Amino acid sequence: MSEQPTRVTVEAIVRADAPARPAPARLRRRWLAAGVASLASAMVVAIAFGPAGLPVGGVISELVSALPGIEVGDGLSDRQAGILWQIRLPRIVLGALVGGMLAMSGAAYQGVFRNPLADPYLLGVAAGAGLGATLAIAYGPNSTTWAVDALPLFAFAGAFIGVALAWAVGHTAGASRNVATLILAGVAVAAFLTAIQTFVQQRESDTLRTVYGWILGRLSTSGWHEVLLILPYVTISAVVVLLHRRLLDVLSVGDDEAGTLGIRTTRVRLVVVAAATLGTAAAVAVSGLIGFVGIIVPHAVRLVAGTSYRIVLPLSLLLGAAFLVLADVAARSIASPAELPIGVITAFFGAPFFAVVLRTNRRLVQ
Amino acid sequence: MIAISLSNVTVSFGDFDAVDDLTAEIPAGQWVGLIGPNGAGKTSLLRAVLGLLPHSGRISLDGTDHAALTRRDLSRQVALVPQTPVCPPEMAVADYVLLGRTPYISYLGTETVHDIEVVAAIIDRLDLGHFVRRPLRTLSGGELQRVVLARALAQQAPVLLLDEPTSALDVGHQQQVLELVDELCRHDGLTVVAAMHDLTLAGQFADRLLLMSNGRSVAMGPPADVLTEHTISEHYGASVRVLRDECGGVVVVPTRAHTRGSADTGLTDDTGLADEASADARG
Repeated sequence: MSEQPTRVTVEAIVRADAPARPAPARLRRRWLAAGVASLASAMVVAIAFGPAGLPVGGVISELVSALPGIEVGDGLSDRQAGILWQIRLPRIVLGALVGGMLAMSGAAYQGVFRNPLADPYLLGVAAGAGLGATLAIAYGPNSTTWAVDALPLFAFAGAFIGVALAWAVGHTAGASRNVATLILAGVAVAAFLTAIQTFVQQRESDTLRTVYGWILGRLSTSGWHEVLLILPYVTISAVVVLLHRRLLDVLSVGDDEAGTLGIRTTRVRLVVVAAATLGTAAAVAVSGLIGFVGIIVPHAVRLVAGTSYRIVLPLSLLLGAAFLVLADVAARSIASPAELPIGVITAFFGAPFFAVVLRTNRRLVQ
Repeated sequence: MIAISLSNVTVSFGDFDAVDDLTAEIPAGQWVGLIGPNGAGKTSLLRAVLGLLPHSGRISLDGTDHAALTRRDLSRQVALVPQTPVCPPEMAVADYVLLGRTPYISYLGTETVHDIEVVAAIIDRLDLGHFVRRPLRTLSGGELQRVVLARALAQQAPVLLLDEPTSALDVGHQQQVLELVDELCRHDGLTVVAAMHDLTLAGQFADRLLLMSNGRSVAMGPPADVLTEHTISEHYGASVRVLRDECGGVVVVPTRAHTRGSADTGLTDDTGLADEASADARG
């Protein structure tokens, strides 16, 4: 009679005594798989869409044949293969690199500044790159006389100089004690650089259209040139930022408390901002100013998968890439054969998408 | 054994010295209550010990000079329970407590099995097991304070600094948190330095009190010696009665001398407290 209740009690005690294992937040496999799957499907859709229709089966056998040691025969004509390898794929890969980079940098900036409105353009990247691009368009060497296109180089240098100026001004004004000082320094530097950019643009008004087109953002490629140009920077940037994922979680308790946990917060911030800026500057150099991706993608990830930077950074990289690849499909097919600026597409489709995510997760946001 | 030795410590903000030439020694394994009116420099002193504010003079921890310690070494020596902790609302309790292991995790590394075991033991000890997965935003004030304490304990530092640890809690939760800290101090030999506004609680829990005023140390000693009507009136500008409870503890009762014509504390004779207090005041 008395045995059964005793057994139940002992079990209950044993269960209660088992120490609760605190597992650190991590990127679950299914989320990683979902991210990879989204990017892969976005790329398939992007390959299929275009002015010249490519047979899907042919594309697949062409791609599989490209793998070393596998030969399944030619699925495409030479002309179709040329379109695939020299026009469509480079553009898709460039879109993925730029989108992933902007989204991940946006997440990193939100982390180091503990500000949900931070985006990769916060510290003067946009204004610096804009000035660089305008100078290149207005006074730069003619592309026929230079071996390389001057515009990406000028934009890249401008972006980096903009952030370096903001950092220098911020830290002479005490930004190591208060992050808001750094953000305000970024505002001042951006305003100053934009003033110069506008001045140059007005003086050389025949460049207005080109400059404006660049500012709205576009993905246009000449073969694999742009991809190879930014690949090293994007790779370094992504690796460095991803390695800091745990430290960004530590920074979320604020500089003081992170300091008492043994973190040199100014150094972490400098390294992450430098890495994110490197990648953003490279992305901006080849694609202009594509807004919105850096804010919307990380927040959508937070709402759906969790707020730890161990989750937000890698998923932003994957989903930012997928998002921009799809946005580019829309940009080149909606008004085909004309192209819409991709920055318009990211905002036009991204904003309602984000509103839907926000609504479906309204219980999460308080 | 001296856990924290402060000699001629000054913390300046421009022309203003928040801590002014303060010298004191905090014995290891004791609970030292840091008291003083608003603006006395209590928080600045704690922040200087934590290395968050530059100081002149000498601070040494367990005999090692502050300047010889890296940020990481310092965080293995001293842990802080802040007055108003910054709590990322969506972070789970387990993740938050694991942040306390940061001093032991290499720059780009992640938590080891050992870190998780340490945190599991602390979570068990503070009885937080049933809400390790809950996000911080769902916790009550009392639960949150225990979670913040757990994060500080995960640092396994021999010195625990608390900045107004109970100012946001009701009387029951105040006692629970302080009893917990007291047990850690007695049982695990932690050195505790707690800045507190409630003088009665400070007197009840601390072994010694350090009274600061205008950045200076004006008194240090057992609570009964520091908490006198005269010193409290002088440094806080407060009108109080200091009574003894039956265990020899000190009770500080604010009085309103100018209302209802009486400075009566409301404690009647039948408690015996008022009598003793008058005797104490006379003696």
